Amino acid sequence: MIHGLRNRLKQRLSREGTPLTLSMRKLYILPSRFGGLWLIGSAVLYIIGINSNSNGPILLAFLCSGLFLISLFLTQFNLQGLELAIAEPGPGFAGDLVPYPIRLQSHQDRYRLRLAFSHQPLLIQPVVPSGISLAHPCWRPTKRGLQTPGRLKVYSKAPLGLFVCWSYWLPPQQQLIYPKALSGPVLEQWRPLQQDHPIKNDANQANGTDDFNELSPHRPEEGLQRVAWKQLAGGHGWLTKRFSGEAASQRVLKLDSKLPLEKALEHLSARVMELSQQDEPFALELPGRQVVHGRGRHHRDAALQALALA
Amino acid sequence: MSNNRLAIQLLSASLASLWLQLLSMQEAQPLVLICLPLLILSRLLNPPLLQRRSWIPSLLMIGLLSAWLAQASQGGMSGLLINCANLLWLLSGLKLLEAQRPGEIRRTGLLLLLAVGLTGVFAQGLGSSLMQGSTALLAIGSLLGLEIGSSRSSGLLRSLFLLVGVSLPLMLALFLLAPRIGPLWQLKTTHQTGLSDQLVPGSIAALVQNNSTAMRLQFKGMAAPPPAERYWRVMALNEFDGRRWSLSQDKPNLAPPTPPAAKSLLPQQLVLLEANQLHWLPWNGRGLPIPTEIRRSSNGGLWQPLPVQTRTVYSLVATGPDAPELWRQQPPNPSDIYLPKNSNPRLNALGNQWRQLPKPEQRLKMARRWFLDQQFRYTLKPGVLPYRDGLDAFLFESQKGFCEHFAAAFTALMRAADVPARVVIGYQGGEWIQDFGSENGHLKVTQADAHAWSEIWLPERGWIRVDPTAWVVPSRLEQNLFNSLGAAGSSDDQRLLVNLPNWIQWLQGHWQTLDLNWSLWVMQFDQSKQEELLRQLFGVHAQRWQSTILLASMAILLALALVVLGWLQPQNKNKLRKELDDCLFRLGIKPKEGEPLEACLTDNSLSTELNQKLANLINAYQEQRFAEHPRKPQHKLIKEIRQLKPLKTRRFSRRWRAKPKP
Repeated sequence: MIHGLRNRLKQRLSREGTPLTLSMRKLYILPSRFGGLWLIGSAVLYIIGINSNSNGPILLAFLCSGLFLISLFLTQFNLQGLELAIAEPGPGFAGDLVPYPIRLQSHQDRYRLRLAFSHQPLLIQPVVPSGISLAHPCWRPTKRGLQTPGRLKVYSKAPLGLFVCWSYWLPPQQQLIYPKALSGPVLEQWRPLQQDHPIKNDANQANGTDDFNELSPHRPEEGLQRVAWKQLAGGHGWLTKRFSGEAASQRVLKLDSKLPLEKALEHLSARVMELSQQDEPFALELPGRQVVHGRGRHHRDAALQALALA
Repeated sequence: MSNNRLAIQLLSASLASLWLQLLSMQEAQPLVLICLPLLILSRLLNPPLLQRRSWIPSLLMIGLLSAWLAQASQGGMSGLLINCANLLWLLSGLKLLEAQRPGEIRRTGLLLLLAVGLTGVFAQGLGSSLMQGSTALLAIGSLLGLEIGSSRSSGLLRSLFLLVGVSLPLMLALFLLAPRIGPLWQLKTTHQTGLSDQLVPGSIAALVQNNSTAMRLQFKGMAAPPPAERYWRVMALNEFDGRRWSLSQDKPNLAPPTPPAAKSLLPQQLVLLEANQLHWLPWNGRGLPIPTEIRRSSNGGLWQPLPVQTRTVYSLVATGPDAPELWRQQPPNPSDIYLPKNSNPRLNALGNQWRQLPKPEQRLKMARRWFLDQQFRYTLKPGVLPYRDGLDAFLFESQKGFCEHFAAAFTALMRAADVPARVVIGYQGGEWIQDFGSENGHLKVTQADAHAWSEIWLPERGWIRVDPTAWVVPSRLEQNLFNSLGAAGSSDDQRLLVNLPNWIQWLQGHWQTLDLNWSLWVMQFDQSKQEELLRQLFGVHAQRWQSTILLASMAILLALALVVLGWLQPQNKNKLRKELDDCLFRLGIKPKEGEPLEACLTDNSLSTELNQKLANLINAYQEQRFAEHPRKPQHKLIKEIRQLKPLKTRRFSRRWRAKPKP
């Protein structure tokens, strides 16, 4: 029976679905530790009052009790009716703090909303204005691939911190998590450009090498050969032409088979980031997946995605 | 400004206002008074030394606490409660100093509330209560600021007043209806003293310069006595050793307690007495005291077993004009006639001359004539009388003195003339203070009205009051002390008493009325008053339903509070959009979230004409919202939107009228 109860509780606590409206049935409320202290303080005031036969402390004790009662409702109302939905989560690296955006929709101002995935850092949203706003609670994924951050706890102690009202939500949307970027040995091969392109109809391949496909700000160490003179004459400033296939041979990144798979992927991830930062073109070959030779942000993201899903 | 910073500033303000109040309280120890502002300042300036969690704050704490302990132990454990209160006041300052994280700030707020509550034990006047209220409000504000924050400071103030405002009715319901229990144990507090229980030259002259209130009297169903009859006796001093008059050491001989039949509806005097540490309560010698712990003694006093340590309320139920005052008929004791033979020889000789007269009344007349014939002067500064034969020196040499000199000398003279006599100390006079905008009022008696007079025993009439001061300065009875000093011609004495301008006195009077009512109805609200209130409101069996009534009223008030809070919820500021939404709602259109407004034009059941109008309005609204220079001003648009509303209603009513009746 206990098992069944626990299962039911688990189901209740990890409510899936999007969007989620925090209704009365989905909110839990208990006095906080400070609320307990507050009650003890009120009792002490009351006892002081009746013992010294003075009504001042008694009035204060009753005021504290009144505030306690009102605060029970106000804390609940601070969360009740709030609608949580998923905004598109962007990709992130395993081991890093990755924001998981959540769309909050409310018809009133709400104060000091706290959001945290289980065992993850707390996000405090000082004010949630009426209307739609975004909150970015963060989590630290440990694994690569399509991951969900787990159970989100939304809670609030406003207005006085006497009660804590909370609700749980299991956001279903998966987030793409790249392998952790850990520098280390990577298997790198240089291959003649035209030799190894099994997929002829790839979009990247269609760009010829005769023409540049990108312009980037000119750096002095690049020399004068690649300066886009036409653009310079047109008054667009110093730019450098980048050709899609300008190297005679292409760099191919591969898994180091001597290392465990995850380790090798982490090294590759670091290498991909490094090459992209230097704006060096590369290709990536993984068992069952290939990213053709290229460069740029989209290329980097495609490579990282391949690493994440390998 | 971060929430924490705001909360700490509010807490500092709260502590500062607590400190201001402590300044006027005798219970606050100097160490606390000195340390609190220093602690507040160092918290606000926030020196880097204190920011780190290092040994310095804890060292400071240990140092201050040991200093407090040393001071507390020096004073002895006379007032445990006072020491605890001082410790709490000091601790709240120290806690403020170390509060950094939200949890600590919250606990500091709670500690401050406790500290404010403890000041409420010692200071119960209206002013003090208001001050305590504002201190508590600031402490609660800091808790609220911690959560709601300072994004809009007016918003915080508004929320604070709202929150406390809706909690006040709950507080009131609890205060009026929650069952009261008696004290669990007795706490001892010390307060200022009023009259002392002995009379030695100079003691009342010192009191006269004290303008603090001694007591206040309300008269219910009866008129206040005329000024000449305003004598409130406290103690009869019959032991005389040639210099000092004191209270008899014997236990007072008490009359039976007031029978319970004395209903509170009869005409009565209601007395609110300030703390004075005496067992004896002022009264005018008439009536039955309520509550029953207060008993009348055979020497005409009103005695209660515990000294008056806090403000006390009692009443004297009138017994009718013809009712005998039993204490006046009590025959004198030997001590009422005793006069040491070896002191004051000239006084003895004078009194002995009057013994020749057969009747005590004649001796009294002689004494009066003698007093009027002499050149007595009434003054606040009679000078020091010699230790031996002081009364001789007063009667036959200096001839200037104050009420106690006259009373003491006259009483001794009467004893020398073989008439039993005693000195009575109490209050004479009082100022009538009219309640604002009503017929009622109260009589305020201050420590400046402290007075001494005599009572002598006449076999036919019993104990009668004789006030020799009144022979010398008749105006003392009619007017206040200030004027009587002028009449007696000692002008430099007037400087000792400050007379305030009329309008300040007027203000003072109204404030005092309020203060009196606060004390009578709020601070003195106790079990018996609660029972009476319940009986009046809910009938005889109210007691049985007390908890039900309490719970029901709490539930109702809570619901009301929530409704009020819901009403006062800050509304959407966009008035135009609200009007438009309202209009759409009336037209039966509910725009979906995230859908552009234009979508409601395509999917509705309105007529083409109405739809066109609506489309124009929506366009105008969009322009108003997003265009840089909208063509139509907002108020005009609102007017147009409002014009659209009745269209639908009219259509609806037409359809209603056209509907065939079943």
